[in-house]
Amino acid sequence: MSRTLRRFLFLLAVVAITTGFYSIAFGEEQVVEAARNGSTIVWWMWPAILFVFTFFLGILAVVAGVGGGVLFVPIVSSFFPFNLDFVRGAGLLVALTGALSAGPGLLKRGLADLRLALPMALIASTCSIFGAMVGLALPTNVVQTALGGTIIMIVIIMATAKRSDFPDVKEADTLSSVLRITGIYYEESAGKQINWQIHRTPLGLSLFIVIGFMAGMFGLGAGWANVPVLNLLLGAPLKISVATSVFLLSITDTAAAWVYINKGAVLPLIAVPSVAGMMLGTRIGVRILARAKPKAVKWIVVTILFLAGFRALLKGLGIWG
Amino acid sequence: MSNKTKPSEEQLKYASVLQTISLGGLALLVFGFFVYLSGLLPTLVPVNEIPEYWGMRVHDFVEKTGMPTGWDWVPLLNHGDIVSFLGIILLAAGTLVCFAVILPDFIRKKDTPFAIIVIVQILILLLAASGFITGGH
Repeated sequence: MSRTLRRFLFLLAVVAITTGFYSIAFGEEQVVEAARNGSTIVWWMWPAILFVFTFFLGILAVVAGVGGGVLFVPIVSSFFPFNLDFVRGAGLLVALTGALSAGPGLLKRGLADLRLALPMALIASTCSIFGAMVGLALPTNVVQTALGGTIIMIVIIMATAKRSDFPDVKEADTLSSVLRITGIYYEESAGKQINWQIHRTPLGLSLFIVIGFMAGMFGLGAGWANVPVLNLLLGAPLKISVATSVFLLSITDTAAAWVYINKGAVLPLIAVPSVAGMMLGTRIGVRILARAKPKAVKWIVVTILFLAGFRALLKGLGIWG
Repeated sequence: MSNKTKPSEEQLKYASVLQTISLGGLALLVFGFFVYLSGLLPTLVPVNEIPEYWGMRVHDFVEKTGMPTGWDWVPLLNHGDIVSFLGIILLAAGTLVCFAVILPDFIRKKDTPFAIIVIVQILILLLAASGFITGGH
């Protein structure tokens, strides 16, 4: 039922966006106005291009195993005429809707773990609020420069971080024992149940201060940071880490999204085509994934992300704006 | 799925509520956007004028257009641009509702640490949603 409903929603999204843009793009008048303004592109083309662009971004994100939010903000802020405030607001919504769509299924299958996520989410969401407030208060060029630097750092993490399917956690630490953060899941590839526990919980929690702050400040999803911390530092199995990271995003980004919404920084004309394009692309991406070569695509995405980060850095510094 | 690997009661409850709200939010998002673009309702800022403002910082945008901030949009629900906002609000509110639904389970099970975590999380999200804290100028 829910799958049919989702398909219907996607179809409705495409119809709504295309008919909507058609209804406002009466053609000649708009073109004449654009020509009068010295612009070569009619205004409604930007949201339409954004829809198509995020559609392909969604495909790339799935095939490369990268979150859509982290690709969206640097690329859209670099190449579209929207202010960074609105791009970050839309970026949060893109990451949020992706997490909200995937979260329930992952929780029901026992891959995302509520007890593992909640303490981390509390820290990350609180700090994401502060990140959002700081991001909206700082001058655009400062945020853009910091975004560029952050994206380049993310590229380095993506290119170098190792992952461990089943990290060896010999003994759970005191805090995780008190909170009873432990679990069992069925690993299909191994055909057996895997018991897991975590360690270094206080250090992990403190890292979520930074992760949450950055998620709120830049409007990025934080899967790039969540997964290494959950998997490599805390020692949760990779599948549990990836799934719990997605679920965590739904809480972290919600808190930051409220700051952007209340401030007026979520423009439906930018946010809705982005969300629809990304979700549609993600669906197609899942189908392509079976035939694609994820490693090659991942390197393409990492290169694009690096270029977008570099461009954001130069734009922020006023060298290429 | 064996009993050992079966997710906890509160986890399943959270998932079900989140799924319902997410689907509702997405449906409302699409519906609201269609209403906005189709011109069925009047708008506070005509949709074809938005491009004049989308390159501005958000506080300049609000100042020039008079668009509502915080919860000031509530009395303006007869406008297309505000209706297009409703799906976004529902999506953002979903997590808050989920926490409110699972809190009694943690209390009933006397799982004090998680009951406290959930209560604090609800308060944090309420504070964020309240509009009392905003960034910028």
